[in-house]
Amino acid sequence: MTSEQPAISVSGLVKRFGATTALEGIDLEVPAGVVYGFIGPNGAGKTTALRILAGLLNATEGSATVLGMNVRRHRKAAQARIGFLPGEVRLYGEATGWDNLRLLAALHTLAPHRQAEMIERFELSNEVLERKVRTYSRGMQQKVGIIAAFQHDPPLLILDEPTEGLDPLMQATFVELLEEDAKDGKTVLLSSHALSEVERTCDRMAMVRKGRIIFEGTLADVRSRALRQLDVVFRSPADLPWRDLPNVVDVEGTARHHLVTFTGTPNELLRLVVDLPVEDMTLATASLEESFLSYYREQPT
Amino acid sequence: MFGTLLHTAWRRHRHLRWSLSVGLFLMGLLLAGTYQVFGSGFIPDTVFQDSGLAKTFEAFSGGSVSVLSPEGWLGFGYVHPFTLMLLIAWAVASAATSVAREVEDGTIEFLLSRPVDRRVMLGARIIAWAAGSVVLLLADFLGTMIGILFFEALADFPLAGAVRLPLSLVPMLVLIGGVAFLASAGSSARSRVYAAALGFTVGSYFLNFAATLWDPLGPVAPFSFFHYVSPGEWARDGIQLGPAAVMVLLGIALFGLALTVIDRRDFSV
Repeated sequence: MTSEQPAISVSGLVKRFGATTALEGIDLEVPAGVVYGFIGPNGAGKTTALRILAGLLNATEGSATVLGMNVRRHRKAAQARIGFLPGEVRLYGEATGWDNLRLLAALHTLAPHRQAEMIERFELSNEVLERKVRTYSRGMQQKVGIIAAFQHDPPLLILDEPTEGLDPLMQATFVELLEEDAKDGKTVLLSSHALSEVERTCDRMAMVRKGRIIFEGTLADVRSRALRQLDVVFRSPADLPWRDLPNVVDVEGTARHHLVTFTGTPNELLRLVVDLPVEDMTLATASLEESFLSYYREQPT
Repeated sequence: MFGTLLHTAWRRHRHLRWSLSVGLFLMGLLLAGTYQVFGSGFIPDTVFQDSGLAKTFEAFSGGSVSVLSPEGWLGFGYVHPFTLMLLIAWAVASAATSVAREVEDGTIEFLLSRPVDRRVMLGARIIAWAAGSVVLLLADFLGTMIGILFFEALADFPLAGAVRLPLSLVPMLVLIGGVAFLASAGSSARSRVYAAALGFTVGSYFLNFAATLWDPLGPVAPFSFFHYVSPGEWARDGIQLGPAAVMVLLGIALFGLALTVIDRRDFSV
């Protein structure tokens, strides 16, 4: 793979399970060295797409390439460079944590040279790892799953709902880990329906809905499309040409109190206000969640 | 990697393998031990033949060797429903765990997202099952041999004949294993593996049983693989290569199909 090549390239990906279509022609490029979010509600097709990339499912149509290798034709070679965390971590319950980690390490072609570091980061004691996995809590199993995905230090990580079951401290540890790995040039594709997680960790993102990608871009792009509100209270009645501005969607309020709903940046709106006597003004910054929902609702079903 | 997969598969069924081996050892010993009681002096052969019992035992034991002879009695032990049950339990449990249970438990996602050749993974599990089958047959053979050595009525039983008794089951086990592993490779539920392997074996058993006892069904007997399973004849007459080769080749073809299926199928839990 050359440095210009995307780490993940997906073209016209379709997946059908009998009469059900899970993916309806996805095109996606994940640049190398970024943390990329794959977001959408349950049943949108995120997990199906990630399973195809991990070599667990075969696409019905289209192709998927990771690190320059077609995952169907060169499955084993591609898997050797991927760290995969399934959406629901299910380990061998009758085996200990150590046994699970050792087995998964032995089945990889890369040496697990980050294993000790990961165990320390995620605070799994030797005593815990010597217990059978069936005695583990959901969070502990998730930690073992994350360690198993990262222990070989693969150049590409595909993580399905990685922070599920982790407590806030461990979530913070996980975010730190992603930031460090991204700085080291690794590529991370993570799916989530927790938008705050995507907001904290991702450089770019794709939104999936009903098996289609409805948005691809940066978080700033999402926000720029979201509805925001400028709330201004003037000292005296003011008549401003808000509706002449192309990004203004709605204007409400009274002669003194203006509530302006708009999209994109507020620069043009602020220029109208700057010479007038303002008593109070607030600019509501849309959270990613609001932006996402606003964007999501706009899309035709 | 293959060594790790083989070791894991071998360890996984150690308790089952041990308990089934004990059962088969006792079965071998029991049949050898009971020949003293049910042997040639028990019922005069003419009475046995005239009573219809001979045909009933033939239906149970397979082949034309009289159950009152040492070969027939010991051979009967190798196709006794209890012996078959233990051997089938081994094949079905090994096959069901190899893929279908991993899908049910969800562990398959971790396993097959590693750079593991799916055919190598299944191949290791097939080899572990085959090695376990050898252990089980050896346990049965050991029980039989101890019986032969300790009970006077079987003192003249030839060693070569005794060795051919467990060998006669190998083609049948390859065939049942092929069906069970193919069902597991293509399915996501253990119950389907049980249904396929048990349905095939039990159906075949009763087809042969009914065809042997009831003349109008006689022509369909060759469609049951049990028609070709006759440990008594193997012990008395030697290896019956033709039917054995057909069953082994068919079984190997099913294993080959299982390896193709697992390589191409989807895995989602």
